[in-house]
Amino acid sequence: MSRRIHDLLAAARRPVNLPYVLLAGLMLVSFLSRMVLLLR
Amino acid sequence: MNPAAPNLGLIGRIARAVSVLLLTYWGAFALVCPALTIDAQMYNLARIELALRDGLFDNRFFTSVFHVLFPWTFDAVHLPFLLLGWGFALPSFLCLAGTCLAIYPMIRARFGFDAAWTAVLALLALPCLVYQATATKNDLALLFAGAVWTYARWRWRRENDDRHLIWMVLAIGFMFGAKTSGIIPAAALALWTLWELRRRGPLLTRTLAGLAAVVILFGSIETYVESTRQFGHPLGPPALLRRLSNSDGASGAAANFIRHAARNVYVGQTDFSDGQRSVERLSAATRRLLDWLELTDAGADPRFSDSSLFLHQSGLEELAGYGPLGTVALLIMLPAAVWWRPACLSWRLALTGLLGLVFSSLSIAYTSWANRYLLPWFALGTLSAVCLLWGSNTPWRARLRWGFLVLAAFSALAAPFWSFNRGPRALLDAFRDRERLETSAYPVVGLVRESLRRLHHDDPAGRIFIVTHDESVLLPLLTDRALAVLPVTRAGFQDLLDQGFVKAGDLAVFESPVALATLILIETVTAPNVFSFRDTRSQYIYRFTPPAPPNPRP
Repeated sequence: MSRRIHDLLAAARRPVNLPYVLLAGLMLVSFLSRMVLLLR
Repeated sequence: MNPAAPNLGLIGRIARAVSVLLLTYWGAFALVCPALTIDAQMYNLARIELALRDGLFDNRFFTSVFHVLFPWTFDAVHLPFLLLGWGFALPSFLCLAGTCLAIYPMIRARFGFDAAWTAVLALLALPCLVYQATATKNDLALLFAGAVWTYARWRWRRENDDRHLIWMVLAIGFMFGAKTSGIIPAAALALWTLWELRRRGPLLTRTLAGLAAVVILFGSIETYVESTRQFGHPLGPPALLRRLSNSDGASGAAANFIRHAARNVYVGQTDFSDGQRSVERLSAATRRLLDWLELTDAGADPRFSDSSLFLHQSGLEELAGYGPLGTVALLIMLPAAVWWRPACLSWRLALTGLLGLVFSSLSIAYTSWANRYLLPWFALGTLSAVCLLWGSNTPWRARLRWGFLVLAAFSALAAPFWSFNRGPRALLDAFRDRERLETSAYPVVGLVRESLRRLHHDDPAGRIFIVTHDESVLLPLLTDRALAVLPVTRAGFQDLLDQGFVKAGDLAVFESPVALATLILIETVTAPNVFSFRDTRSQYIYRFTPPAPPNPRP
């Protein structure tokens, strides 16, 4: 159990990909929206 | 990591608690608030609503140059939220959250948890930054793209994994398409990326191809094409570009730098009360300095005059400053020009911020609402202060860290209350008085909308024309789809009149610059409503009456 908690804490301290996920999400929504607007 | 401070101490715990509280608050506000910013109501979001009707190219409803000329990669993100009617500011808030998520691990790895959480809190303590995180403007997107590029570069070097280069390239593409003022910083980051790859031939070629691809896909090329078609220049009408740019070279840049620096000497919140001597004294001193240096009105937008220079730090999003930490950032950035410490991270951040401030002063004309253009530079200055404080462990630095934390916590907690339409009461108003909150930055348009609804109810067959100029506030009228308003330029409306397209019972809203001239042309018009709001523009509503019957013959 303590090892599992230790692993979880270690994972939490590693650099995360969330900034990438947010950038990718915004860029994807932007691209799709631009396509929708350009095709009007 | 700094071995002296690897774990979360009391400073880190306090900074974390305040940061989590405020991120929750601003996230909730971004989720529920309507589109509040005047610029968004004029063009950032208004043009998305108009493009929904008629696309981008040759759009018949685009009535302002600003609907066409600005890149729209970030503006377009708001389309789903415009259709939903909620969450308008979520993309901006995600930019803030993403910036915090990018800087946190970098500072934690180098200086420890206390410094990392204090850095996050310091960003939340910059009022202009957090107001942008609940606005729908694109300035924060530049900061976010820069933060992701830095984060990806950090991980690329640290993990020796070339996949992070993809994210560096994507961040550059996003920055390029988000805002015109992002083009040169994006180009600088692209050159930097290529320079780092100069000895890796195949990877250099692939990265170059990737940069070309992201600029084509995400760089908003289509708005530059349309702008060239409409105005003969990819960035817009040359006369407008001259107005928006510093056209006085080095003297204009010097004048702008002085104004920006003075603007961010924090002397308390501007509430326009009679007792605000400190703001008045600072403004007067800045005017005298500019006059003494023979720089009066240099580098400024022609509509701005130093005779009315007033260094706002108000809670209005477009006039907000960076608060007390903005002054700290300034005090860190200014000495970086003469205090050469290339091995010190704090110095490198401060010098980058200072160079950015010089770049903005050199390139952009000064206006009262120019503070938001400086967002990345003041963020860098603030982070530089954190790195300086945690750079080594000395007794005076330990004391200063507490002082910095108190200042940051105070500013961050006060920021919602400093704003007149982003405080806890506004959070409630987002549900119980949403329309008033929506037009709180420009109340006259709310009055016009109410009047139009009443008149439209009386005669639902009558169409509604909004006769606009470049800075008409349109979004609150456009998003009431039952009104189905038709924006039209003054010349376009004249054509409609000449063609007999305007019928009896139709309504026309005129912005004041065109109202009087048009009134002379249209004699069968009544003016049931006239609105005015202080000294700003006013809008007049006219209902067209049927032509008078011919006089019966005696």
